[in-house]
Amino acid sequence: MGTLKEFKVKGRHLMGAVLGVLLGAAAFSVPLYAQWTGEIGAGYVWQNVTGNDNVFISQYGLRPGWVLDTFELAYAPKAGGPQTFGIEASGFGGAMPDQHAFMFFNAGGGWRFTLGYDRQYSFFNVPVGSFKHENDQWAIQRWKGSVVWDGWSAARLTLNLRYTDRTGYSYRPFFGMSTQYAMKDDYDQTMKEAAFRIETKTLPVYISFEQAYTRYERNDQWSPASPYPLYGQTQNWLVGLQTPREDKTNVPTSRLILAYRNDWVDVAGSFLYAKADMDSTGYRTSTYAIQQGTVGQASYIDTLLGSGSSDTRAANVDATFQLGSGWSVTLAGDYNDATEDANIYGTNAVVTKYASFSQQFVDNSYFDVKDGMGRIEVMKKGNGWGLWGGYQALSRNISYGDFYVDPSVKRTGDGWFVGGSWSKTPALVVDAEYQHGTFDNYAFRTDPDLAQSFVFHLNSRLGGGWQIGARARWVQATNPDDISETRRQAQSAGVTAAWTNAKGTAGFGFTADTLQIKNRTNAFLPLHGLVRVPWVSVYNTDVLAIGTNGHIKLGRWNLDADLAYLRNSSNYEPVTNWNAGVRAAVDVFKGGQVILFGQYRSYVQEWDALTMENYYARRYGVSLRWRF
Amino acid sequence: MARGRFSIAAVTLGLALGGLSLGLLGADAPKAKAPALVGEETCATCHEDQAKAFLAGPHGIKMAARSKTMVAESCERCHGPGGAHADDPNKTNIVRFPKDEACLSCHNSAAGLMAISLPGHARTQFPKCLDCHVPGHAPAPAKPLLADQPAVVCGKCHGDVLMSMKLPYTHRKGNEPFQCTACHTAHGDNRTGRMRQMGPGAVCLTCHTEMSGPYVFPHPPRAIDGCVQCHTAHGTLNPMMLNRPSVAQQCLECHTTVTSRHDITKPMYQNCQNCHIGIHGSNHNRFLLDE
Repeated sequence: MGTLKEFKVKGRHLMGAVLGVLLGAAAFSVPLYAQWTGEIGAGYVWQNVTGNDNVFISQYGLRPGWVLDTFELAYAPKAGGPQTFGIEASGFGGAMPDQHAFMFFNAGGGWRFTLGYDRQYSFFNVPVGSFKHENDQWAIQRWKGSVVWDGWSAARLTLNLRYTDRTGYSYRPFFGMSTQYAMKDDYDQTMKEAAFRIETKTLPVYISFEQAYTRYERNDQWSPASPYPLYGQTQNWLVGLQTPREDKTNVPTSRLILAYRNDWVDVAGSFLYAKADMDSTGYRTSTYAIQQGTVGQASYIDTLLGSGSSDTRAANVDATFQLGSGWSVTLAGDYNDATEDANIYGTNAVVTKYASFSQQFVDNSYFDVKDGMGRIEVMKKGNGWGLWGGYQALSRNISYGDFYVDPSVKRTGDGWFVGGSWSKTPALVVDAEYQHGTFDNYAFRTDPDLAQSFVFHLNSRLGGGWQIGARARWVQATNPDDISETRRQAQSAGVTAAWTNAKGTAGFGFTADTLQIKNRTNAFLPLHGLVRVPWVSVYNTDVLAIGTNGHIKLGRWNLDADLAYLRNSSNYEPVTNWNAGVRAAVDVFKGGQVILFGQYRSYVQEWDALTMENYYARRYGVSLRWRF
Repeated sequence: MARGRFSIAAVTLGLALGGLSLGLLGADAPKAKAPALVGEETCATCHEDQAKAFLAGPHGIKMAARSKTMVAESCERCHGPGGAHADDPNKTNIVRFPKDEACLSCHNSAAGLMAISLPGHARTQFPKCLDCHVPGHAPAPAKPLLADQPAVVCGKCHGDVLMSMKLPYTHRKGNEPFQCTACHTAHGDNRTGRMRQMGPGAVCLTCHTEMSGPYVFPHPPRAIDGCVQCHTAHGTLNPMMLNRPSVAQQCLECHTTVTSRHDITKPMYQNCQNCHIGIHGSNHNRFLLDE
């Protein structure tokens, strides 16, 4: 298991701070005559993993330890009326990869305050290759706050504030002097955003205008991570690596949404303008020892000053007209124009014991994408049934390049769709749709110029607490043999059955789904010197997933269990995955429950070369829950 | 050909704005006179438990915060005028299961925005509001007044997506998959505007802020078609949620002109990111050798 010591300490301080802030707010913001309701649940989880626990943690993020299942507190005046204060939290304690906390306070006069906190922890390890002993570990924390004034009858005013930071590290290769080394990238990234919104409440037209300002800062630092080069190379030249530099991006965004609806027209439109300005400053220094330092050292210093700007203008308008007798026409248009311009000024310098060289450079580039779409759709609705069909036309202009190249692409495309639905009684609700589309120029050689899809859903409430469902999806995308002979096909199908008794004290559910994906694309494989061999990229999957669950209440006992089986039986990395869980909750006093649970997870790769990824994980836990 | 399609888009936008104007004119159309109302207190004389639970729930709280009149009308806003039912209580003279129109009479912004975000939901007449939400006569299993957790509610129809989120590499919070509403909105709101207007992948960047750009040297697939050009958002068998099992396989499908010095028989070249580490975009190197 990867070491988490440094990370955990940081996390615990923060967890304590967050809980302290929230509980402190709870204590001070509510008067003594408060009528409290709430729930507290906490427990401990034991975990036993045989096989590769790093793969288990990479996939699920679960660990042993304490966990706060739930913490909820709400206040409403004894005399009745709206709830004025609420707080909730979950996940703190270390056994879960995510933590969540949220509180709100209705201060009267239409004022409402909220504060939210989320922390997501990421662990990633791939057991094969040169990095099999290293683990990426990082966490994103998100703070969200809002102030809402709803005391004005005509409109609601909202100020939203967000703060996000990402800390931790990942390991990567670093290439220098024809050799590859392990490098550690320490993350130091933040995002701050303030957004003001005004929404109408009483006008015939709903209007929402938001002005946001966002600032991203990124100050990641690299350092050597291993005394040995990667891939079995023995000569270790790298003796120093530093990247003191900063990227800062400012993004003001304006957004307008309009919506109107009456008995015969339903119109909505949204418009956006965003401009992003990025400045990047700093340098990178890598130092290599020549002949283990006996000859001296060579330092490569790249001093860089870059800037980039991006303008996005976008609009969507959809309008549906009810023509009478169940007929309606929808007209829709989308427009998106994004342009990016960038330039970079720099100096590459080589400094050795005996001589120094430097070279200045300037590099400019641009990248513009303009998309447009128009759609018309005609629909006939009857009593519990509908038929529809439509046509859409699209255009995409891409232009990107620099002083030397301009590989611009102008593409137009069109497509049509037809579908129907039947929902006359809850006993049979069905819908199906077919879509077909094509275009005439390629931005990438793998773009499919012909795409078709078909989707089908069926749901049925049979009475007696029974419900069944079925669904299917088929998607095919291809392009001509002389482009890349791309053939992509995906099909999935599934069934659902569920039953619950009249009181809701017992029930079960069953699902079974299949998913087949077939992909092939012509490519070229570079081999040995100057040889490039025609090659076909093939990726197929064939997944079967079956799941069942049930619950029953027997006196003071609440029992539930679930079982899921997943298997990929394609010729690429066949794998079998079992998940099972059982949970028993017993009411021990009024509002109080003791909960016992057990979980099982297994992951078994069938290829010999990949069996090192296999794991069998068992988790057992107990928690105490109190509702008041 | 291209000009013709632009014309279609222009005509579409024109008609849509025309529709808005006509709709505003139609807003003053005379309304039919409503039958007599009896008020919430009359309903509560028989349906005491339901009325009490409703007023203590999110609907009741919101209505109380707005006005006393709204509370008084709360039952009949959805179940229709109760005069006849109060005189002769039976199942035929009251709206037992409210239709979508009842919900949309208050949640009118959701109605209009739904046209932008999810025409599929609107077009199939399914789901109805009460297929996903509960009215609030009892505590709801999930917010906002959802009949179950969002992933379960959506999974009733989108089971293939729910199933793919059980694959080994997915967006997951511990045991549970991400809720669908972390990225999607069922009705459309500002975030949906952000998702569609900023292009595919923009919703990913609300969490993965470090890849938001703009970059001096962007990677064209991400800039044009977004993250899904290389990643599978709902779940996959491949580490890093890539569309292909190996990085080389992913990259070589587009980069067929890669030079022969990249000898793919050597381990060093089997993972393109060994050297091209700024794969999402770089501010320092045209070949994405640096971030």
